[in-house]
Amino acid sequence: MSTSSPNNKAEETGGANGTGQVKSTRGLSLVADQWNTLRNPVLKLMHLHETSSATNATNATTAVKKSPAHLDIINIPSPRQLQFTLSYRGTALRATVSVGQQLERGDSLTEQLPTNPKNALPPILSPTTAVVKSIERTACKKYTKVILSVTHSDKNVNQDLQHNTTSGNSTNNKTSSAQASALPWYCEQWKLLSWEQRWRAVRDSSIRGHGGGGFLLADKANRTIETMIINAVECEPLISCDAALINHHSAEVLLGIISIMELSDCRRCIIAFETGDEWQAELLQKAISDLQRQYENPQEQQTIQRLCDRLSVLMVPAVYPQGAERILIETVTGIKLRENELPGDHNICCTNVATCHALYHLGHKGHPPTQRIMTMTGDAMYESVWGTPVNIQTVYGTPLNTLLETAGIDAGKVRIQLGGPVCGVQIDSLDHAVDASSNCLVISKSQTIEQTDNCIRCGNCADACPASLLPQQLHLAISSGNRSLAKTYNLSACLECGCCDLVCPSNIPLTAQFRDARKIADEEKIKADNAALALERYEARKIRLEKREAERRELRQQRKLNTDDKALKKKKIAEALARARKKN
Amino acid sequence: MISASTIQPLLAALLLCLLAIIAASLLHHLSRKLVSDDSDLVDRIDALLPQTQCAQCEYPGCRPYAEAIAAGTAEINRCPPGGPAGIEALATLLGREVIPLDSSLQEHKPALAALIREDECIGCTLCIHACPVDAIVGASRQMHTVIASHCTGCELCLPPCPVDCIDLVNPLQQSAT
Repeated sequence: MSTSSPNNKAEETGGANGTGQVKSTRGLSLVADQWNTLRNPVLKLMHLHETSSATNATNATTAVKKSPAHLDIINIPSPRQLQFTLSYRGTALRATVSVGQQLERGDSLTEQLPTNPKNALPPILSPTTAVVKSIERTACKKYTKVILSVTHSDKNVNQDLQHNTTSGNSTNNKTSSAQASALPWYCEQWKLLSWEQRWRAVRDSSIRGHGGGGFLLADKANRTIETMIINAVECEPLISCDAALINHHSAEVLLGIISIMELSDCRRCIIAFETGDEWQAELLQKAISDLQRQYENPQEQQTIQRLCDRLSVLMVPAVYPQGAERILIETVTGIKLRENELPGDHNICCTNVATCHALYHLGHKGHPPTQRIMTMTGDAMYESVWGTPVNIQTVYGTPLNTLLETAGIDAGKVRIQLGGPVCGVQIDSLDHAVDASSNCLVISKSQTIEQTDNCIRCGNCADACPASLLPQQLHLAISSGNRSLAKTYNLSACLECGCCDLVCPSNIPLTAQFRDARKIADEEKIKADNAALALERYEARKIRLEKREAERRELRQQRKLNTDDKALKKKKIAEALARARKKN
Repeated sequence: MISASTIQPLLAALLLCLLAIIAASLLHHLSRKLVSDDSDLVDRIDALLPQTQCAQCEYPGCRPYAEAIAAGTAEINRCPPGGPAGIEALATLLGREVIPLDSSLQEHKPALAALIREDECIGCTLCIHACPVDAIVGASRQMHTVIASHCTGCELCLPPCPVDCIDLVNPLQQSAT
């Protein structure tokens, strides 16, 4: 285990890219003066609130960032209803349950996976004992929505919750009872599984990335991985769910990290923390030494030691959007991914700490993860029952209006963003529910948005863009409806991080515009792909029909030839007969 | 006696005429040599058509229609599945004016997909032969079904069906139910 001192980490990355130090990345380092100049009304208001009360530990404006005491996780009463939209990254899934069906925890609501899938869709699992109340269509008509009414969940879910919150450092008892095995840190059930079976279990339990992308863990990590990057950087300012997770469950997170290292057999694993979050790194270090001390069996010690040797901690600059996968990979390894490349193409896998915690649930408690920690923030939170932004423990499928009711906030009077304050998506209806990738809910009182002006071509956005794009040019291209020009300016490489929105003096909602344009471009691409497929099949059919026609023609000719043959033979016979008669 | 002052403008005029003749012959030559390739144009028009192969334009497929447009024998407003967006794209490519869809043809509808009511299907295979993209599977006297992801919604399978058991539905609905 290497320490987190600056020199060491420089060496760490030096090994990987030869540059010898962490490069400063493009992006916004949100220091105090910049926050004041922001024109985004939500952020500005938030900033004012934060400085006056100084409660949220992740706020970039507070000079001293470490105040783990504030990073509590609040348990909320378990919801009576759960709601699931049957989709995986835009693809509709098929429901297999029927209304009135009784479900146990872990039962699948969707079609089972094909056995050997390349792009298989993950199942959606019922997080608790429940009855299917209704199956309907979502407002957009694209997906099916299943509403479960929870029976006995209070017992189930709350027990689990209590276990979660109290077991901060209590996993010791559990693991120390494990017998001498090569993998002492797993529950008995999990220990019996082979490597393939474990991957199968990871896939079947549908562990999805908790960072925001929502990719399936089994898809990301079940390949040759050399470098595993554990993302402990909060993806946006004001989000603190990862910090809260590490604050309370550092031992569990560590076990999750070790599990994923062991599963993917990566050569090295780098845990990336933001500068200023050194306390998180210290907690993890402590967890590591605790874990090593726990085992007396030399064989076990060796296994742990071997895995811990591959672990290292890296402090990365606190520059938004450092938590974005591509940016983090560039910072840590020096590899800049092209927009059509995935981290797996470079044998890299980037996983959120919360995803590791979900894997811990599977390997150590033997059941698929059913909960996540979610940050509720925004100025309206100061008027909630808690009086401050909070991190709450939520069950997958909890409807957002239940969360608002629990918080004591009138849903009609606030503006709600799902996702962080910068690049979260504003939602109009509360017809959404918590899922694995929902990390934050921003609830703000301000209903109005400042008026936007025309682009003055100041170029601030181009300076701020972490993907090195030209947002002003993209804006002009999209506004004039010139989609091919937008493509030349590389619209598809946009991270949708919202940096350009923050610096724009004309307050143009650039990211929203890019997001919409990308959606249209994606739809067009699907249309073009479909047309290409149809053309291919049409041509194949044409060739087949032609071939069949040619064969038939040949057959006909053959037959004709045959009949000609017969006629010839008959003629010869007749001639021979005639000759014979002549002789006679 | 012709003086230099009268010769000079004449010379200049002669020179200009010469230049004009050279330029004209060059342009004439180039226009012959660099004539735009016809099949290339057909390809580009074909790429803008939706490839449903529905024959609603009254040509036997998308490519024949593209050829007709390139040859100048067909207007650009004869593709109902392409709709106004398709006409606009064709107009931009060919430098023509955007015109509304030909009213004698079908109306533009959002993309639909065929769905066979399977318990009513008698297995006559007529729709299989009608499908231009091989999106219907089945055998004689066996139930037929539509491969939703391959169906272009061309409606060519509707008229041959003797029991009218084919519906056009929203493709999203079909995949989700």
